[in-house]
Amino acid sequence: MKQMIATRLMRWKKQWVSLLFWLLFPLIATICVTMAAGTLQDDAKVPVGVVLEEQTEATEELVQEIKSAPFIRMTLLSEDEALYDLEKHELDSVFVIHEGFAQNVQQDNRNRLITSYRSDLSFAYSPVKEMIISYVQQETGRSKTAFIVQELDQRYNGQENWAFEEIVTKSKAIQQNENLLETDLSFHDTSATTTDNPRLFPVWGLWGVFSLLATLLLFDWVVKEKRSKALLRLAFSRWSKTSYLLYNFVLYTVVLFLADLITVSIVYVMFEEWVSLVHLVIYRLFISAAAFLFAHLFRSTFIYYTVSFALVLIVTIVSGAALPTEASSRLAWFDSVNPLAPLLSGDYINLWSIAVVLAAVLWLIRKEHYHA
Amino acid sequence: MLEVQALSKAYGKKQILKNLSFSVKPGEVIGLVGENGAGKSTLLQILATLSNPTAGTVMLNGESYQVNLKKTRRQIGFVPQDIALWDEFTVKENMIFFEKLSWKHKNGDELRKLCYDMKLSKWNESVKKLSGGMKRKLNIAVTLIHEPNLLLLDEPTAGVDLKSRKEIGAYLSNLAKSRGKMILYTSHDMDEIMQLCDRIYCIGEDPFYYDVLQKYGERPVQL
Ligand SMILES: Nc1ncnc2c1ncn2[C@@H]1O[C@H](COP(=O)(O)OP(=O)(O)OP(=O)(O)O)[C@@H](O)[C@H]1O
Ligand SMILES: [Mg+2]
Repeated sequence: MKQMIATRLMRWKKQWVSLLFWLLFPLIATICVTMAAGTLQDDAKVPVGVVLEEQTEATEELVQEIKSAPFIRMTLLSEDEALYDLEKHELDSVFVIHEGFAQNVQQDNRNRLITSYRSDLSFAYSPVKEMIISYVQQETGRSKTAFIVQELDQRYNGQENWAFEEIVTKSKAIQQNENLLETDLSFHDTSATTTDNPRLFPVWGLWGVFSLLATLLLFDWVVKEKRSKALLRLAFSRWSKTSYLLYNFVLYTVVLFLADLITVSIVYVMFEEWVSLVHLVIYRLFISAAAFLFAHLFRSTFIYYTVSFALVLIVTIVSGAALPTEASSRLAWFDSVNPLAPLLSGDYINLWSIAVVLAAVLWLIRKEHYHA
Repeated sequence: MLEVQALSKAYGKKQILKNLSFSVKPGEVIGLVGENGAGKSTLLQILATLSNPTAGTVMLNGESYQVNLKKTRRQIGFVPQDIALWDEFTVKENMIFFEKLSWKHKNGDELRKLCYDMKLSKWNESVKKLSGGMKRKLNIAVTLIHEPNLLLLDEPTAGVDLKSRKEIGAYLSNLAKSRGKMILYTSHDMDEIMQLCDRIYCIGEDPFYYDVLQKYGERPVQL
């Protein structure tokens, strides 16, 4: 094995630039596309200005609520600035949250909580208004409940002395729990990682497609070396051609997996998106084995590259793994042959994996026969 | 000692080698001649265990090829008709690469000496930039790393200039005489064959070769 590693290192030394490039390509391409898509998404959002006349827990909550709307880019500014920007159409609409907002909400006093401005080109005005109204309703409702609970408590001389804050906190906790339940249910169907702010392109879908391409292109060594007369000398060496190819398959797979691990850590740090290591290992094994076996079918690297690009393109389009989430034109039948399935959904007992295992077995049998 | 008995080879219906029998003793250099397509390369590949005969047996030092393939191969060095080297590697890197895969361990100095003995001095030049003759020399040097007893060379001197041809010839002849190696090689150069070989085997029935060889005053053995 030591000798085998040494010979592979000698080969890698001659092509370290392209080796390094293709090892890092999936990571770099994923980061670039994700960040570019993020900027694009931001640009496409509707700019809304919010003016805060008081800083309380309630106003902070409202601000968070508006911020979390996927189609809105919210900025906090002073009233003068906001109106100036609105006039220049740099803002779509402006909402001024008046002083005493928190108190008025608590006391179910819904007059003059907020003043809103819009221009004749406003677009987000109505949805944001709806959102604020629904928030105010929810909060005033909560306050009302709290008062009623306190009243009931006093009327019936209850032992427990409920504090207003306590009731509000409790009601929020209940709401949170119910929300979580809802999210859980929707997870079950989509089986993709969804975050509060959905990305235009799913990170692991992107990476899967890029790593598939990089793996195919890195395994061009099989095409090149099998074609080379130099491998004829293996007949007069300690290694058979089969073991030479297998050892190098293992070495490539290990190096690719190390690159995968680096990718996982960096993607986690940058985008807080995680992928199961078990899925990753299985995905890596299958695509490496598939690329290794697939490369055996070619004698020309040019044709091999062309077919590889075409295949990856087809997988990208048909699986919909790396396409904008909304534009998912995903074909269900493709799931069973999708090479990305082990990575994205953890499904690794399907037509695809069975085909790879079968091809591997055939390859081993055929080679053994040749050497007998 | 290499013993070939009643060896035949056919590709489908096409009979290439018919019932060949001959032997090679240690220290002998044998020249194989014959027209293009006569089956010289085919014979060398069978002797190198890379191809199976349709009929007949081959024995090396009393042991049949079929008995222990690995052990047989350790004693064989095969220089293919094509250059079997890594183009992007230097002379040094090619020697080291194949040494690592070889049964025999050789250090850098020994590898270098192997090249120098064959008058191949461009140690750090990449194979891409070597002349045709230099490539042929390296093609042979790499084959010699594991010190084979039976050396099979398929047109080792094709496209090599006169001086390099002499150098390769002298080296091979010395290898046979001083180390008792068995050498079989093919060539289309009759002068070279005459000078170098202890015996000449002619494959095929083309009378042309007999005429030519007769003019040299040599008695070719027809296989
Ligand atoms: N794999 C094969 N399948 C079918 N026929 C083959 C195969 N390999 C060689 N032949 C045929 O066997 C014959 C002998 O070929 P071979 O290469 O041994 O000739 P040669 O004597 O080395 O010729 P040359 O002097 O041109 O090198 C040729 O007619 C060739 O077409
Ligand atoms: Mg030939």
